[in-house]
Amino acid sequence: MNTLAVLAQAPLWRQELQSVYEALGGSVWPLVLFGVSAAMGLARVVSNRLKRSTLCVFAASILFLAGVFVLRWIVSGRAWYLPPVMNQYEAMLASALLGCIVAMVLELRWRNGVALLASSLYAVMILLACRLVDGSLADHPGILDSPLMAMHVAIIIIGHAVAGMTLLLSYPYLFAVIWRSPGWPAKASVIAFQVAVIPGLIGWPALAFAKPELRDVCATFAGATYLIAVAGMGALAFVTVSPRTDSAMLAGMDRANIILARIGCFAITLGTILGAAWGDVAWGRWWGWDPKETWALITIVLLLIALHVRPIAGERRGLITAVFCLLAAGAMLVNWIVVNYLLAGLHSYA
Amino acid sequence: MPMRFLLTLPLRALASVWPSVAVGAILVAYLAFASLAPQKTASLLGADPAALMRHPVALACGAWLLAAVIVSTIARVPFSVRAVGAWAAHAGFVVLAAGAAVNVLAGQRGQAVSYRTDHGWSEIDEFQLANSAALHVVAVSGAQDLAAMELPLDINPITAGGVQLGETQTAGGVAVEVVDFVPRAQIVQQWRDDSPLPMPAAVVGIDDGESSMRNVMCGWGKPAVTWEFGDVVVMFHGSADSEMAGRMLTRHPPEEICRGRDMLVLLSGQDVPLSLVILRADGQAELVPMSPGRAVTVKLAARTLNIAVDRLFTHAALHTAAVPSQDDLGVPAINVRVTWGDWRGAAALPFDPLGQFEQQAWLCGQQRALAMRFARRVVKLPHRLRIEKAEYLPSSDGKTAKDYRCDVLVDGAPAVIGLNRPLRAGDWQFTQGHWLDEADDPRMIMFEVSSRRGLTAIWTGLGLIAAGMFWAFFIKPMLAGKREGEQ
Repeated sequence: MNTLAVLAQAPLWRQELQSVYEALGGSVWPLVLFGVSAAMGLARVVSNRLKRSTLCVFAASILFLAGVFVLRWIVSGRAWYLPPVMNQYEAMLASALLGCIVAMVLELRWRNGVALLASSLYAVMILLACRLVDGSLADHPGILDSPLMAMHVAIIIIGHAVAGMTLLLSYPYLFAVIWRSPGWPAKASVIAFQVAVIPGLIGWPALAFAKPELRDVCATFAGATYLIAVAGMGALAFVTVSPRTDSAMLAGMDRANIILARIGCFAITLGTILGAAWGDVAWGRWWGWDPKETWALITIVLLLIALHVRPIAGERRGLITAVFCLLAAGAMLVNWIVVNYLLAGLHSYA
Repeated sequence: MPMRFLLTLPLRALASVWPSVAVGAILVAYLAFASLAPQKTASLLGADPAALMRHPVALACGAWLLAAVIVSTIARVPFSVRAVGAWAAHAGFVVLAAGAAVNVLAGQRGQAVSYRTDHGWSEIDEFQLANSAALHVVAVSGAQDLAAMELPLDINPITAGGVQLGETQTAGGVAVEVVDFVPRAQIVQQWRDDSPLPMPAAVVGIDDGESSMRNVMCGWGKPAVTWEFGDVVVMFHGSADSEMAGRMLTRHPPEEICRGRDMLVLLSGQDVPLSLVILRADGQAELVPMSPGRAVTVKLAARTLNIAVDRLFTHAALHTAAVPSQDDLGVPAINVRVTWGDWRGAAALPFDPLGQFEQQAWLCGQQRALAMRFARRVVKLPHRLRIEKAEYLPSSDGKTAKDYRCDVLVDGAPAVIGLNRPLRAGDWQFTQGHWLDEADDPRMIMFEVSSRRGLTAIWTGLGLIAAGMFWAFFIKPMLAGKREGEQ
């Protein structure tokens, strides 16, 4: 662990903060808090009760995670303009935090619990995944020492967090839409699909947890399972859906989905533009068809399709938005898992 | 009416959303495949893996979407304050595409290299153009050293659809014809004793008990060639005479060759039978007769070696041919035919993106030899750049680089090139590339060089996209919500 090397030259107060950071950041408390927040969020959406207490737990979870984030920023000893977004672990931690902050703003505006639930589930998923990757405080390479790079990563991370939240909204949305359509084949196909996919969604990360030496293989299969889940759910929806399946809850989910899609699309586009500006300064080229850049473009195109098709999709607008949001979130997952660990490129962590 | 319908059909298709969604989906699928499995995609399409993003499929999809953006905006989005966002974002895509096109067509990109010599860093006044290929011919005459002349014979860039075949280019009396381009080639090599020029060579094998190596030692016109096997220097002299053999035993070789190490000199010549001179680091010398195929055991201070000359050539010639590779490991290569007066030869040249790191391919003929290289085109820079000082700054834990800093003179004016600190000179930008061999004691520094015509349009386009999206996604719905609230 490079933490010791980083801290060896750190002042005493920072070394003391380090022990606080390790006690908080290394603990399961953020996970537990967001887990409770997600459970209460689910109860709040279903029963329309526990509004204030759910919001308080969610706010406390965010504050706790923000504390861990700021502590890591201070302990790492980096410049003030370089937040901890320099590696996979930090990017994931930041995406959970920034996604939840965006969701809190939306929740305070909408007050329907949808964004809160989606972001709490997203945070649980991400904090679980954080336990699989190296979280040591290694010194970052000098090429990353740029405010432009920090802005680029932070904004992209917001975009990815929001795309992740659309995944968590679109999936149950499609599930509910298919489930409500008449006839038993729809229900049977949904159950069969879940039975086929969910063990993979949970099983691969669990296996990676148990056997770290199989982490790369598990990450690949987990990524593939996510894509199958995303594409399969969308395909099922198209095959079986009846457009007359709207309800207040689904309408709320759809409304949240489209706004999150807008935020995600704007953030990923702006982040990619800032990345181009940094790439021009750092590498001498603003665009290089690096796998990460290509998959960011794919995510943007998919979100733009969702936004452009929606006005002309009539009664199926919610369905189409959900399908393309799922695909965009799938592209985001490929970017995080496959591109980061398996493909060679300037952004590769492999 | 049907004619009018047919004439307006493309415009209607461009103005409607669903055809563009289909094209967008094709583009997404193409980008995904090209990014995840470039080799497979390239072999399916019969394209160069490095040029997949310029493939007609990608360009056609991009062109359709661009045209759709223009047509649908004009046809479907009447200009108003509410539609400012859509107009700005769509205009941004058009401006961005125009800037990118100018950048690709009028800009240049590549690498410039400076070497550290005894007199400081070599001056940079040219660079190797990316996405290009050229056949460089260096003529060598007899025992003369390199670079009698250099004839860059330009051929089409590999990435723009292949090499101009069957066209003979002539310069300085040397005619070179590229007879075959193999996109993924394996170079087959064979040594034969059939050169019209006397060209001594030896196939030498060394075994120290732990490892064994074989090497074809050929001087290519130089009297001797050396090979370093660990801390032992092996020299082959294929045109030795008896006087030289005697001199070897009495006079120690120059210090710049042996540097205090043991040295094994293989001698052969018209009046000298194959023999081995063992020159020990302590100054002692010993001559051992050899015969081809028979190993000799040599006891040195540090270890014992078995050395054998498996085959001896008097008129060595290396015959090479590029044949299609059966796996994905092949490299682009060309087969060339050379005519120089009444002498003819043929060789295979693998593409080497940075030609200066590789040996050239050699062809030897009647009292003349040709060295050739299939590498990038070399382009003159409008500026002269010289490194004054190169400094590597490690991080506090010593494991990562904090900065690679070069103090340089650009056309005589001092400047700095570091990480995230490019040097801009006119249209040109220099950024840090690679430092070899050691970061804290580099012998070669490579800068990325680019002239970015169209960059202003690119930033303008990207700015319009960001601003337009912000307006369309957030300001416009907010204004609409306010209006609804007022009503």
